Amino acid sequence: MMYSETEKKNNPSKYDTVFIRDIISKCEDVEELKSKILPMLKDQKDQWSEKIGEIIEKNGYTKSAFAEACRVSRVSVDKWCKGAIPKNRETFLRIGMAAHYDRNQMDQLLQRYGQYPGLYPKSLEDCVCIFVLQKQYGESALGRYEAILDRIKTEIIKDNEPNLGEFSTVFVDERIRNITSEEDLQKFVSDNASIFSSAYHKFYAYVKICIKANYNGYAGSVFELAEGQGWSSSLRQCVSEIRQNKWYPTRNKIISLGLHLSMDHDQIDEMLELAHMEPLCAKNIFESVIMFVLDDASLNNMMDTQSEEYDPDELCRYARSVLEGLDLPEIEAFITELPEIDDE
Amino acid sequence: MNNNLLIVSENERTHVYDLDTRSTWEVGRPYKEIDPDIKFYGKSVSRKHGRLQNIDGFWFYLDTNRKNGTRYNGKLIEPGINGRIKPVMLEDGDILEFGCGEKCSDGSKPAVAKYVVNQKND
Repeated sequence: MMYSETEKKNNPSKYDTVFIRDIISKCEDVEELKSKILPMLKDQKDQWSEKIGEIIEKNGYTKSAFAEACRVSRVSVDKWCKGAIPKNRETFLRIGMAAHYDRNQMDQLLQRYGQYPGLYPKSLEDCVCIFVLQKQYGESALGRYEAILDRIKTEIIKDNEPNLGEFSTVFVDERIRNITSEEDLQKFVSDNASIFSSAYHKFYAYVKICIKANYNGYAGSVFELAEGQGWSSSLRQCVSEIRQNKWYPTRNKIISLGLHLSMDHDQIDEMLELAHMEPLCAKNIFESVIMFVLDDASLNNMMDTQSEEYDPDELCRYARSVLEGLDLPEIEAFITELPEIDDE
Repeated sequence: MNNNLLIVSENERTHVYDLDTRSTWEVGRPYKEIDPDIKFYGKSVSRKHGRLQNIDGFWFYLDTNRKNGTRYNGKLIEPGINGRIKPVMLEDGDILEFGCGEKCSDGSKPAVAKYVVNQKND
């Protein structure tokens, strides 16, 4: 793939991501991935390490105080300072609130350091975060965020019918900007619960149709599939809530779900986009490995014309074997969810 | 409320299907006891070519027959890992082409369908 000098100059970040993505697709094995890709992504770790250091220093935190402000362990903060990037988008929200960021700064933190989309008004968590950032609660921002969210979530779960007559994201954003009190926010969310509960209805429908189309033996029941395949309890809870159209998607859970459903790269990107997230990012170390696993699995299947049997766990086992061999930080929980490699 | 339509065209014949009258539509070429809901007659269309399915109000196309294939907005729908079906979520204006992508060997044009979402005035 050729890139003009102008393209590289005008959008160096995009060029880098596309370039890295291209190299991943050409890696023939894990060793090649290790030698070519992981060193390229070292810069990302250094930048994150610098950023965390800057946040801690600028706000006068000790590492322990910062850990408490973010509601994480001191060990996590130590890892961040050494370049380990949080694997959850929610953690970035906590860091941004502990750093007393405004909305623009929070969006930059999410997009530049986490490769996540910016705050999305139709997501309930983001809606509350937007309100909290507007109010500039200072030290108590994260506490207020959690308290408001808890109160609202109980209300919203009662109404989970899809709202097929849509309010635009701009409209919702504008309304939130004009809300001045927590009570008004709660009323707005409650009066328009279907906006928030239907934010992920396309995602739910996509997961359900993928299962219906490929796992007929489970009679189209998501839950039966998860039970039958012995998925982890948290993933089974995830699919149970998807069946009821009330699961709030998290990025790594979507990736895990995609692996368990033997989805290819395009399909996992589709799920992420339907959940209002960016597609898999080549500049994220963990996701670059996932991309390699998916592309390699697709290539091998295309060459295997003899196989007629579905092995539901094959992709997960392969992903596990690759991830275990790479010693990436903070993905132990992700790996343990994947089925173990059979000892034969 | 919206009205979901499929406007189908084959050899200059056009037919409009109101998708909302059922939750599943089988697409294919009629043959003996095989009687699809949406019928095409070109030989490049398989007898059981594909399916339109509604989940929670969203319409999907499932390409169930890889032999003759279907194009979605000009791009061939490929199978997933181990031949798994990759459903396509339809959006207003999407185009499906069944069978061959260009002119067929018998000289006819490929069967084409356009998914249209009409705003209903209640």
